[in-house]
Amino acid sequence: MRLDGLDDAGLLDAFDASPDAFGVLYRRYERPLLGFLIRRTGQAELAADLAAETFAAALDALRRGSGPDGVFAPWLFGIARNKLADSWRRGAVEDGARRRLAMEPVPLTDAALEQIDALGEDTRLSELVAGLPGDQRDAIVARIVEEHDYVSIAERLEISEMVVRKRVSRGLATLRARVEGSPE
Amino acid sequence: MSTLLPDLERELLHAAHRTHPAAAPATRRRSRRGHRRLVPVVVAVVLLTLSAAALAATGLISIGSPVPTSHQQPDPHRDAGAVVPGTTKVLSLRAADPDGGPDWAMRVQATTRGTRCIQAARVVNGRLGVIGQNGIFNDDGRFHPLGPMSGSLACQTPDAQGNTVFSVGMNAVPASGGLGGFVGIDVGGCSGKRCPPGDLRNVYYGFVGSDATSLTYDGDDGAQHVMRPLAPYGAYLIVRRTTDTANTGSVFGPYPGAVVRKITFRDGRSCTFPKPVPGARYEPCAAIDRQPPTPKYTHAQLAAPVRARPYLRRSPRGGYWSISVSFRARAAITTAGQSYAIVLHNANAKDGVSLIGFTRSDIAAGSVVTKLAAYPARAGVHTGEVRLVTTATPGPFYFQAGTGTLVGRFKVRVP
Repeated sequence: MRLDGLDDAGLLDAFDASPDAFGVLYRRYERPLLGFLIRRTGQAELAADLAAETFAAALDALRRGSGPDGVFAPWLFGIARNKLADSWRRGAVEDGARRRLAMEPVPLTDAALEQIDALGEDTRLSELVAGLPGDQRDAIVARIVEEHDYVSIAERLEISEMVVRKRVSRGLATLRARVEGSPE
Repeated sequence: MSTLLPDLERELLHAAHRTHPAAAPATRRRSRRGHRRLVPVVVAVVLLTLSAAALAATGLISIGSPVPTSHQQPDPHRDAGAVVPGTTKVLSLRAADPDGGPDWAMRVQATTRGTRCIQAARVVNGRLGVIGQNGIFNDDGRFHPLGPMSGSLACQTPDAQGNTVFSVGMNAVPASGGLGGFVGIDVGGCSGKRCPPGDLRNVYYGFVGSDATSLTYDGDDGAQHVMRPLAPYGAYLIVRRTTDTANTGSVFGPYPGAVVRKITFRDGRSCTFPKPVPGARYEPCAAIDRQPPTPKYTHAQLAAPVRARPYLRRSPRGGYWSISVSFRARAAITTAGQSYAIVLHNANAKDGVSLIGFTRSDIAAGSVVTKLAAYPARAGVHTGEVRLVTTATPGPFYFQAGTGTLVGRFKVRVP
């Protein structure tokens, strides 16, 4: 089975038979997630730490059979938002999921940190967000970047909550398709 | 497409294979086979560890090579800054390890940007370091001292009274003293379930203020113990054995670790902390919640025109509109406790503003500061302001909306 050709839903299904499916999900969402986190924290080390814990928590949930009810991306970014909020509250990034998975500490190189920093400065993801259709862009920025809840976004945009969810979902799908289709 | 963090990708994949339900039988088989092979190694490790503990109990322990200093030297003019040479001091506070051997101790360091940082580890002859066990330094059982410039991310700026009040709690860390990168002692080795049973510790340490007179905590024996925090910082250090590999992670903040029940202060005030339950937060306690120094500048002293303009971020693939904000800084920034914060008014944000820029480096008085927001900006008119803010802990992570002294306001129309 060629996993790279599967969409997210297909990868989630494939994970039951092949743990390699998670590797494809990681490669697909590493940069978007790091970009999201570096913009919120301004610190590459912190963004990397939060991303590691987010992916570990996602893996931990999947292996226990408690993955997303819907699509993968909003679920993953939801985990990241919770980790970020939790870190705000605690003043530190937790590492419970990584410890549960007995993961080794990951060294961070200067080059990687510079690249993460660059994601926060001027990124292809930002360009991709900016290049989304207007309704999807507004929904993505409001939900993912500004972290408003669906209800307040619906009020602000004067549309139903269901429509906001659809626009966010479509926007993320569009972003993923463009990320996958763009050269390195 | 290659990943930015290939080591993380590899670790996740290893974890995915190791813990995947479909892989469990094979893993168990490998584990049983591995167990036989590991026996001599485990015996050797136990002998080495016992040897180290026994030697240390008599005041003798073999000294090994120093812990390498991180190759990433911090910028002395950015974030918390770099350790100031000659400021690393090991405090006289000691905590015995449940298995004996070298005590635990903590040290304090000053940084170039005015913060104090703390580290805790094992101590021999007044030097902080780690023991070669739990998978580090080939389990050589020797003591490996930390260099004086090995820094920590657990840093805080002093409050108005010069106090630095903050605590670190590290759960399920190895007895070796290697507590991880967060506290600047990341030497690898085991962690959590990978450590031998009995070799895990919960380590709680920090400063509760020079005016703290007693600290009550839950001991290993189930009874409450009282200690006098060490002057001049009100330092405390508690080390407990743990077998709880589910309760892991670190805590860094003004409130002390989970085993501290009460702190009493010289003026009669006290803070009490109930046993934590998941998801619960401590009730605020004014004696611990120190305020950062009062801003020493007024708006009149800082006032400067703030220029904001739409900024087209160009790239070969097109571009997008963002916002550029510039102003003349009338007050210098030389410490981690002060920054210029740029916010956009945003009625939908929880605090009414969105932080779009935050200075993290030294700034000379009179220099022009220009910050470019990283986000694409929505078309339309935006208003915002620049403030000089004080933060107890370095970085935008701890920015509090509504604080600080106004520099100026701006208005910008984005196409």
